[in-house]
Amino acid sequence: MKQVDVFPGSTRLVEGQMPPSSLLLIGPSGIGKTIFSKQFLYNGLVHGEPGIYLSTDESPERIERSMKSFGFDVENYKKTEAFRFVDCYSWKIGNKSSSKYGVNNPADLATVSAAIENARQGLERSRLVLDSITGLMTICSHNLTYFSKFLQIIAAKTRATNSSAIFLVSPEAHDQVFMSYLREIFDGTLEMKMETEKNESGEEIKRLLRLFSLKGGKHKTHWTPFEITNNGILVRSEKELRCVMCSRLIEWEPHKEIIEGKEYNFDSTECANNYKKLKSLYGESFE
Amino acid sequence: MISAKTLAFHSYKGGTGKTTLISNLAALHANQGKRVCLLDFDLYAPSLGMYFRKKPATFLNNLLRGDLDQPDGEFDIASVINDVSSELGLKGKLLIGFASPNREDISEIEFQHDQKWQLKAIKRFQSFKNQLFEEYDLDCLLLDTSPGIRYWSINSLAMANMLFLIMKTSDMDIEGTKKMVNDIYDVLTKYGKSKYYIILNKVPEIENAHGLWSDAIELAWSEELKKDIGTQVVGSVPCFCDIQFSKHEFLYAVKNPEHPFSKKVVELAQRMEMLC
Repeated sequence: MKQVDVFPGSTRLVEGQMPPSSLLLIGPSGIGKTIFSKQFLYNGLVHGEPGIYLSTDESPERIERSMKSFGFDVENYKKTEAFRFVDCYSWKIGNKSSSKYGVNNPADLATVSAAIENARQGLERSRLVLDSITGLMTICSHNLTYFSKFLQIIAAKTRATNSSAIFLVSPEAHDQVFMSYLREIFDGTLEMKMETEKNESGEEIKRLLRLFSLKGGKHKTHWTPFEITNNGILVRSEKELRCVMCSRLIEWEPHKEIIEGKEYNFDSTECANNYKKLKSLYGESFE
Repeated sequence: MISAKTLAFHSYKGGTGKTTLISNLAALHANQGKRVCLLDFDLYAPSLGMYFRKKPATFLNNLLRGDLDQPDGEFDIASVINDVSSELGLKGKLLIGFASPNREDISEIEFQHDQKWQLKAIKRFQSFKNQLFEEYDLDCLLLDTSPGIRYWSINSLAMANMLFLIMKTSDMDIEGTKKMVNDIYDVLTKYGKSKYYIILNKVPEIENAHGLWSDAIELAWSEELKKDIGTQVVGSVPCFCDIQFSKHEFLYAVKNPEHPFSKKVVELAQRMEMLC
């Protein structure tokens, strides 16, 4: 069966089936972590995996609107409760949350924990986004040890229910010690960074993503470019190697064949064999 | 169980009963719970649309032309694949891709494009086939091809790993098939594990002491053809006038399983499975 993206670009970065994991997503503000996570949740909903979105910076209404603007319409999933908001934002502006899982006092992590548990009731193989660790840290009054325990418990419960989760963090807001702690807690780390490139039309921002680590999965580790498009995040291959027979992008190791002294890259042995058959029949004109 | 295989059905001449046989085999496998896809690559004289009485809006011609291309390099394959399983009451899946019977489309594929266009179309076909297996988790793909040595019959045969030559037991068919094997089949089975076999169809009923067409007669033909053509006969299906001349023969193997033709198709399917 065809592998489908768990998070944007996962089929390009992870070989085979992506194991259910809790991932830390590190990246500077504005790079696209939030839309990346929304896409992760929507991919799950489409494939029958319920989603929970915890936000410290956006109201449920705004999250829904922004998802819709990328084509991720969650209205029906919300109605059937396949999509649930753990609202840690409305409290900030003194409003009552429209969500059943609103948190009255997110400064107290015990109430946040309880709201997540409540939202997880009755769900197996679900997806959770915690957006963001940075946001929670700025409002909670606990020490580092307590905070990391809070995250460890969520990660452990994610594992126990065969679920997946993404935890967002902006590294510039935290010190090195805290970031090192975080990397230890989760099953893997995704990193995002921006680079500026000079070209004819001036300077251009290039967004890059890499899967730094993943327990229990073979994966690529190099920086891979991605774009934010009208349809969400689009992860591109670093170098576009295409099969000469079917023209498809070769994601992993190409099947190489030397035909009449020239090396060709194929997607599979079948493509290589079919190419040789047709070349033998049509001669040089088949390229 | 035929698993993840591409089977192409070909003949030297038209009128060998290829379409009837391939449609019945496809429906039979699907009724056994398998996931089968049947594609009409007889692009010069398509007939599956008429056989299944379908007039789809999208054809395999659209795929080859690039109408189904998507920005990510894949195809909108759902628009060209028709699921007929539930309307036929099949236990598994039967998915069909039809070719356009419109004069303009046939003329386009035959005359209107240069080699560059045709090569691009072959690559689309290969990529589409890969996507089909991935998205529909197919057990097997069956290709109906154009008779004789024609551009798109060669292309379809090159995509398959099991090639079945359907022939009648007439001298003309035997000689033509022999020539065709020498011309293209040797190359088509040179790479990978592709193999070709013969299916005798519309065999005249011959009475012997034990009744009609016997295993002994089939064996005699098999030995003669192995000498002449160089491969084995998988099976033989007698000619049934009620099927040959019926106004609309339709999937006897599933709809009328007690008919002797259906029993022969079941036997043939079992023998084909043993080759996989």
